[in-house]
Amino acid sequence: MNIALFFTIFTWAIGGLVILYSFSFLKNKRNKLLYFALYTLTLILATAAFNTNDLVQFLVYWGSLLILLYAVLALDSFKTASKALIIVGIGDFCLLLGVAFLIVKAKTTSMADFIPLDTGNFINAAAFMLIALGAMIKAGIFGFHEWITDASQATPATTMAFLPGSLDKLLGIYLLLRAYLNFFTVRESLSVIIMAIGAFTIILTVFMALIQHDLKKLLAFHAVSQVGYMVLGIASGTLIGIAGGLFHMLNNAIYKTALFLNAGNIEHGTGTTELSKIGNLGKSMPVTFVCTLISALAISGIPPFNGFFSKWMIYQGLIPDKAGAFGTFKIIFLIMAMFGSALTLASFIKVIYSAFLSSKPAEQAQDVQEAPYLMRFAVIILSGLCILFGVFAYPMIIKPFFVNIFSSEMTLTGLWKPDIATGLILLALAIGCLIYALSRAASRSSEVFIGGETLKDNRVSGTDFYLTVQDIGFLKFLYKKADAGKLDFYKTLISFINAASYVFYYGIDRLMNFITNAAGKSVFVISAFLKSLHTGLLDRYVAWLLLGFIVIIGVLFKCLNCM
Amino acid sequence: MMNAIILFVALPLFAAFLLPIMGKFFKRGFDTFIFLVVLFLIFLSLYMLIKPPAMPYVYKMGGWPLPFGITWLLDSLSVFMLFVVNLITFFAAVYSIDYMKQYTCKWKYYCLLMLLLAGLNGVALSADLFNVFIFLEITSIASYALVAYGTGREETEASFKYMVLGSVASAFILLGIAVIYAKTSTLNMFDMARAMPQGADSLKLKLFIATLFITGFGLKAALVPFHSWLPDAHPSAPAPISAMLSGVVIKVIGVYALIRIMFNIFSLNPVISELLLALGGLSMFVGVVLAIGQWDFKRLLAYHSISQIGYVVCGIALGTPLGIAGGLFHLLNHSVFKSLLFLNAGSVEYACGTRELKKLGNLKEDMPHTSWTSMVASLSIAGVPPLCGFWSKFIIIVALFQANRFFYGSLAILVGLITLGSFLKVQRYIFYRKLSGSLLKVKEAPVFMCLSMAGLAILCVLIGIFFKPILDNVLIPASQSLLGGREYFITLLGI
Repeated sequence: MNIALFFTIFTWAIGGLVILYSFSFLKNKRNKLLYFALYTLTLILATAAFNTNDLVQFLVYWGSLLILLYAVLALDSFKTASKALIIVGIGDFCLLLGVAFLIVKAKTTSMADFIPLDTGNFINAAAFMLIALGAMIKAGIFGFHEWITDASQATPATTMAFLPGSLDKLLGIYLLLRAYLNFFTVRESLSVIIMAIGAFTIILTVFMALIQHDLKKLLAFHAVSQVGYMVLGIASGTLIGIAGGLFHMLNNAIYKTALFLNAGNIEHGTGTTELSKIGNLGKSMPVTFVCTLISALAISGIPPFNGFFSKWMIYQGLIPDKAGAFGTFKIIFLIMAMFGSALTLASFIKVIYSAFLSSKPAEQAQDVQEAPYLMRFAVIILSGLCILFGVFAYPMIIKPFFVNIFSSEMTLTGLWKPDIATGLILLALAIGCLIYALSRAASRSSEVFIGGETLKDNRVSGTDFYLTVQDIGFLKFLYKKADAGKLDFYKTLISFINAASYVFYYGIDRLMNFITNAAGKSVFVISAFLKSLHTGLLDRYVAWLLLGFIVIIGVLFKCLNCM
Repeated sequence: MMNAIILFVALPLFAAFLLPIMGKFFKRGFDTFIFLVVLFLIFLSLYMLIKPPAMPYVYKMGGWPLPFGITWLLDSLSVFMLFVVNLITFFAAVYSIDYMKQYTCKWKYYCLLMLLLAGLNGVALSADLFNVFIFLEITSIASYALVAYGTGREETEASFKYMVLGSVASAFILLGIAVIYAKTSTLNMFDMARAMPQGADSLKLKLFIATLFITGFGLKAALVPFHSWLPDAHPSAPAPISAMLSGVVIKVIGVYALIRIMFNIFSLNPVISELLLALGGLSMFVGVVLAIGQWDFKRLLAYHSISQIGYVVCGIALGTPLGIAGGLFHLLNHSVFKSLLFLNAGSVEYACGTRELKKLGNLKEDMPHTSWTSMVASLSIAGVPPLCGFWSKFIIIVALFQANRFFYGSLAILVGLITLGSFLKVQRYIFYRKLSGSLLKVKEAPVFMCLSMAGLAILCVLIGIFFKPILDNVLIPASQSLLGGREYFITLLGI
């Protein structure tokens, strides 16, 4: 059992479910066959990328995946597709450069033969940073995330679930893992930078997610935010942290896919994912409601779901075993990660309330149908996995996979036995219900009295839950910048390129154009002058001949005298 | 077998004298006859080139011992020149089959063509300076007549100008020969090389003789400032003759004869080398600058001939092995692509009745074969890889830079660029631009004209692709015989 097999199994499992879901979801799309073909091709190429042992081949598959990403996105929006191509292309370029350094230093392209390079010297450090950057951009970190949120508005939920939701994470984290396990022995000082990127990704994007009012866009921000955990876990460098990062990647792929597919269910039922326009779906779409709830709890890291387990592992990896140079930083990152987790829960409370529990808005149709069985099937399986991997994480994942991958036993320092804990939770719930049932507490419902006025519309949509956070000092600045597009790496890049091209155009191109034009003109002026000498008169030509003879003989004898 | 080299002169001369008799009795059949003659000659020269017999071979006419009698020399350089001459003549003759139908009295034309060929082969083979002069005059007189073959106003005027200037040049050459003869008392070139006075006091005399030859042969080769006849004469001749004149005549009776004398009789003097470089550079630049302003297709090509001959002279005058090889290679390539361009011009004129660029247009669809062959030739002359012109220009430029001639090297690159611009203009105006209505539906040229053009175009590509074997097996040995200098001719005296 090795890493490649682990990735391959779960890529196909999740990818297969998404494709299954698409059969129903994309039924009415005009070019649905193209979607299936591209999804399948992406899966095949991703498998090839996971399984190849040669770095150059790996780069080829990686590049092909970028082209496929473009192709899939371009089915819906060329603008988003080209944005993704440029942003991810920059990551791929970094990767290419890093791998070039790596191959030169390691003198081999076979991954199996690599002896990990120490990142102590500059070239190795640069190679590592470039490869890590390539991996993280592929997975989607803060600053390079803009295409994901754009795509959430432009593409169907399946594409979101498939590419930015799961597969890009698998690929990016696979590469980061390889960099940490195979290619380099990374120094703390570099790791701490990577960890900082991870921690800030968590916290900044989760704040962005808080105020979103479109379900798919909110999920897209969380898709970015969750990458932070994985990066944080892997960059911690401890065995448990790396395993936690890897596990979190798997869990994220499961519940994020589930969430996007649930958003797809809602879109299928109501025609929109705008949270203010939907409500009270808990009654009409019970399966979607339950599955969303489970996935939301999983992503928020509520025990006993899988998200909790992997986050718990990452936290453990972050706790410094001895007071190292960067111990303080690690503690800060740990707190940021936990805080981010809390905010994640907050934003999903908003989702659950707005979509499923709030009263029905006026514009929503009366009879919202539950999603077709194929779509329900996919989300049920994924939600089931959320529970299974949470409760039985040790026997299902850690023991069969991780013990082999890391070739060492996993021990958790904290006391967390998910099976016992789940039992206790269930027991507590059961006792609670029992007490409720036995107490026979009386309840009655009555009209709200507001001084005799009749209340016309008492609906609270839930989208405005956290709008007040925008007024907090630091966050105010952040949101303002985000609105102005200042945090958008892509926009900054494009405006920089525009400025540069402006300078080059007038400073060099126009100047050269002027010079070459002048040179071209001068050739014609000389040509006209020489032409005017060719009058066609024989006597003049004979005169040239004799003159030429005299000049030559004069020059030659002049030279002779000089010698 | 080696005695067969006599056929290079005897056969065309025989054909030339037979044709008037044939003309008395037959109405047709000249085409086949001439075709067979040139076909035989091209195979003979190809045989000499590919299976080199004992080289260098000295043929003594009438069996007289060496300093006496008429001597012919077949070495790696002259066999190369023979091949170029017969190759271009072959394609010109094939082209003539259809093209010359516009004119009357085809046998007269063929008769003159054969005289031209005999003269060219004779110049390439002769190792006797007076013999060289005689063949040079045969060539010149034949070409005066051929330029005037159309007998229109323009043609006769051009021919008259050509004849006067050519005669003046011949007088210079004859004067040079006379001075050498007075000094060395011999006309055999080997003996002349031996008897040429050496030492400081004879330098003045040698420079004077060199100036006479440079002026005379420079006019035949159309080096600036002796080029003035060429832009009139070359466009006026019938297209196959333009191809011959630009393709081989200026090179054989101009460049080849000059370099034989300068290298093998005098041993190249640095002053002369410098002078020839200057003349070559001037020709390159002035020729191309004049060419880009032209609107008459053939006249434009004629100016390009001046420019390209500048490359050849620059390369050879450099005196380094690479430079000479590059110059000779460019001589071969220029023969091929410039002949092809003149044949293209002939086809365009044949089909449309004009060669004014401004009146032509849109011939790409109507004349596909002329279009593609001229595209190949244009790209070749502009030096676009991997066609033949690129390699020879490249070698010349590299040789110039190697010899620290940065000015001439840069000039060669600049001229290459202007050449490209000029031929883009040609392609655009004649073949690619859309012209509304003024040209009637034109027909593609007849089959033999197309065949001839296609053959030359394929040669352009083949030479470009197989430049390395050609360079190693043909051009390097040819340049060796020039590099041998005076001593090489003196050793030949012993054979």
